[in-house]
Amino acid sequence: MSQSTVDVSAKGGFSFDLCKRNEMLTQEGLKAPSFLKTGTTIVGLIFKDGVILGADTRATEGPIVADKNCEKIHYMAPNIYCCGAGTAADTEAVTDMVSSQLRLHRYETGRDSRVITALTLLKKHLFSYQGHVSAALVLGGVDITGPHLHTLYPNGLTETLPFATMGSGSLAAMSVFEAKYKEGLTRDEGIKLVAEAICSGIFNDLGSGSNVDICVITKGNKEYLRNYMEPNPRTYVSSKGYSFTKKTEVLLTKITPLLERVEITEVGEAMEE
Amino acid sequence: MTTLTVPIDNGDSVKIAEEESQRTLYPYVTGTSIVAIKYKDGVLMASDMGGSYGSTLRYKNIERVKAIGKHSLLGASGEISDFQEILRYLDELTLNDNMWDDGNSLGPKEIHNYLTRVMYNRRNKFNPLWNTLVLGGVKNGKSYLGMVSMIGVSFEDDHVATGFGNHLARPILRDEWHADLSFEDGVKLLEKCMRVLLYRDRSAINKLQIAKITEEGVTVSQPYSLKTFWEFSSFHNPTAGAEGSW
Repeated sequence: MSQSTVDVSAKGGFSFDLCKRNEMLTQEGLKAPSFLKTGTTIVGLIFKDGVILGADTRATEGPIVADKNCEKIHYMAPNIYCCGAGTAADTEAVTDMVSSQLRLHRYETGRDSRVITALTLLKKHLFSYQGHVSAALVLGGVDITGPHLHTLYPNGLTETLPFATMGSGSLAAMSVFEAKYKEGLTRDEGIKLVAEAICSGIFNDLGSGSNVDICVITKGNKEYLRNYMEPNPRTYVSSKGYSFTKKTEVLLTKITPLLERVEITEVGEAMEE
Repeated sequence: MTTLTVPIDNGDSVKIAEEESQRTLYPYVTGTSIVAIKYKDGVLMASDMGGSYGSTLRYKNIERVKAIGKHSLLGASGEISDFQEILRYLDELTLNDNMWDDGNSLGPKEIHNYLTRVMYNRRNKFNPLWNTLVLGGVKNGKSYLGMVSMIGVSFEDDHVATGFGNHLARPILRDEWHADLSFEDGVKLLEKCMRVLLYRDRSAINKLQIAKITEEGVTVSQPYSLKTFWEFSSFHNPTAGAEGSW
C-alpha cells in the first residue's frame, strides 16, 4: 500500500501541507475556485417573551447571485435557531454538526438543550480552526433559563447581546436597531423592527437582497416565518404568456434493434476453492 | 507610532525618490463623518468636532463645517490640514471674484464644480487632497447639496454622508428623508443619524455642531452633545448565564 502524501495530524484540525503547492500553482496561473459566500444581513433581538431572528435570502458567488431564495436561519434544536453569514458551506456544515451533537446530548441527558450548550460547542469548533471556518453566526433561543441571544465570530469570539447584527449588511441593520430598539418590545413590534432592519440591509447593501425570513422563538413555542416579506417581486410578466411553440416536424419514425438478444447457457466448472 | 489608513502606494513605487517625497501617502489628523440633508428652507449639515491622530482623539475643538462666501457651506472629513488648504484656495477664489465688483457672487454649484476640478486634478498627479467634501448652499431660492471625494467622484443628492456615515446614516436617511422637512424635523433626523454614529464609529465624539444655510445666510450652532442610552438591563450583567462570552 502506498504511503499517503498528505499526513493528517493526529489531533485533527487543518493540515497546512498543501499550502506551499497551492501558492506555487496560483503563481503559475491557476485560479482557485471561489467560495459561495452569503454576503448577508442577519439580525436577532430579544423581546418581551423571547427571541426574534431575521435574515435576508441572497447567496452570492463573487458578483453573481447564486441563490435568490436560500435559507439562512438554521435549525439547531426545537427551541434554538441560528442565522449564518460568511461562507455558505461553512455555516451549513457547522450548524448541522452542532445540531446533531445537541440531539445526542438531549438523548443522553433527557432534557431540552440550552443555548449556551450550542454556544460552547460552536465556539470550541470555530476557535480550533483559528478563523479558517468562515462562519459568523447569530444564535438565539429560549431555554429553561430564559431567552438568550449570542453572536459568534469566525475566530471563536462570542458576545451576549440584547440585539445583534452580522454580515455585510450589519451596519445598515445596526443603524436601524440603534435608532429604534427599546426593551420590552411586544411580538408585533419586534417582528416589525427585525423586518425593517433586514430591509435596510437588503436595500442598502449589495451583498444582501431578495426576501426577509423571520423566526420567533418563545417559551415552548417557535414560529418559522419563511419569506415573511417579499419586497422584491418580479414585477414584469408578459401578458401574452411564455409559450414556446414547437417548430419541429416529424419526417420519419423508424426503430432499429441494435443487437439480437442472446441467451448464454454454458455449463462450466465450478470455481476453484 | 500611529496606526493609519491604507497608504495609496501598493508597493509599485516602494523606493521614493527625493522629489517624490512630497506626495500624500496617508492622512495624519483626520475628521470623521459629515451628514447633510436638504430641508424646506435650505440645507442642514452636522459634524462632530473631533480630530483623530491615528487612534488617539487628539483635538476636540475642530470646526469641520465652514461658510464659503454668502451662499455656501463646506464640510470636510479626512485630513484636516488638506481641509485648511482647500479653505485657503476658496478664500483666494472668492476674493478674486469679489474684485470684479459686478454684483455677482459664487453660488454653491460653482464652488462644487471648482472643488471637483481641484480634487480630480490632484488625484491625477498622485498627490490627492485626502478629504471627502460636502458642499451645501442656497442661491436664488434653489437649494443645492453635493459631494466630492478625494479621487474626484462628484455628485448631487438630497442627502449625503461621508465615511462611516455612508454605512450607518444613509440607510436611515433613505428611509426617513422626505422633501420639505421643517427645521425641527431636519435637526431631529440629523441627530438620530449622529447618535447612531456616536454609538458605532470609534472616532466619533459627543460634541457636535449643526450648521444651517438658507437664503438669509449661514448659522452655525454652538457645540452641544447628544443624550445616549446605556441602561439596557442586559448591559448590567451581560454574561451572567454564559461564562466565557463577552
